[in-house]
Amino acid sequence: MTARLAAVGDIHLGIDSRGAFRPRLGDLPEVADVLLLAGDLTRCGTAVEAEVVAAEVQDLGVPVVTVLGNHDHHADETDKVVERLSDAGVTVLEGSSTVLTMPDGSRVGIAGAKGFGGGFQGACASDFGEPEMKAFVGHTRATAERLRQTLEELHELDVDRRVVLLHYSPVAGTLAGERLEIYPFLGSYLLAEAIDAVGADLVLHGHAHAGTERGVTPLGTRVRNVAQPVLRSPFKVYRFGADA
Amino acid sequence: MTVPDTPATGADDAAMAHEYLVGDLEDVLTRDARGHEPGVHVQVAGGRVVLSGTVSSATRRREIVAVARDHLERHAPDHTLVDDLEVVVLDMPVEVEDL
Repeated sequence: MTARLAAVGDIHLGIDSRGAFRPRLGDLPEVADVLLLAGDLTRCGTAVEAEVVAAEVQDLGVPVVTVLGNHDHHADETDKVVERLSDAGVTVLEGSSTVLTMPDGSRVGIAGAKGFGGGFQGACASDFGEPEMKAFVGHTRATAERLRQTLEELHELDVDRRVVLLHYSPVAGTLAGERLEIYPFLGSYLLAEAIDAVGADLVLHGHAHAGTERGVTPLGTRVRNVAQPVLRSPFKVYRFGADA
Repeated sequence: MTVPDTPATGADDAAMAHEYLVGDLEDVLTRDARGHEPGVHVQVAGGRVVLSGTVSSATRRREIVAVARDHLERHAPDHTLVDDLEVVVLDMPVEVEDL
């Protein structure tokens, strides 16, 4: 099987970004079979900004799959953001999955979730103490558990490849370059634990603008930070099975 | 560890004020609609407030500098703003990684 996945996160389009993103995608349909967006599509998460994003990726010629990021939640217009994107044909995942059929007939399952913070082994938050702290960690735990279930559901569907699309990072490795103090706000090991419990072929995330592209989960699944400031290019293509 | 028996003064106050200024400005840059750029870092040293990190466009850079300047004029007029921001240029070719 061959699958070509174009990915980028943190494009942060605002109302002054109309017409700015699409030209950067250039000949994407010629080099990729799908575009995966790893959240933070907008600056403030307004419906108007979502309309800008929708217009930029509509009728691209390949399926577009996304998760939302923290910025996409800021204006408390998440439902409208999802609606605008969905109306443009974008598949928005949150604790859910989609299966895409590649040109050669192989099937790639994408499990998507925003994820959340909490930190990593040795320096992570725990659900102890004040209700606010328990709510913070509880949200991450719930997100991770739902991700695990989603991956299990994909496993049952017998897809050829399983890809996890997140906004927050599941590992500290791809955060290298960020300030240590903010690691707990950039991701959580609970996400990696959920992924490793079921298995995946690739994990993509954004959020960490000053991070590093390549990392790996404790059980060896490749992790890639595709935040646009990290890639310094409009997108990157991850290709499975080129030598098959 | 020895605990000082007198309140911090002088240089200690100034250091503390710097800490607060960094925190306040980072908070303002996060909340102001013109800000919202997560890659911006604030440092205070020698009477200068330095904005560094990456932003997505020259327009965003101007907006962020304007937000910071407004804040400093009101709360720390004795400080000079230094714009050391970098506009992210998507100048790298699209790469393909075979997995």
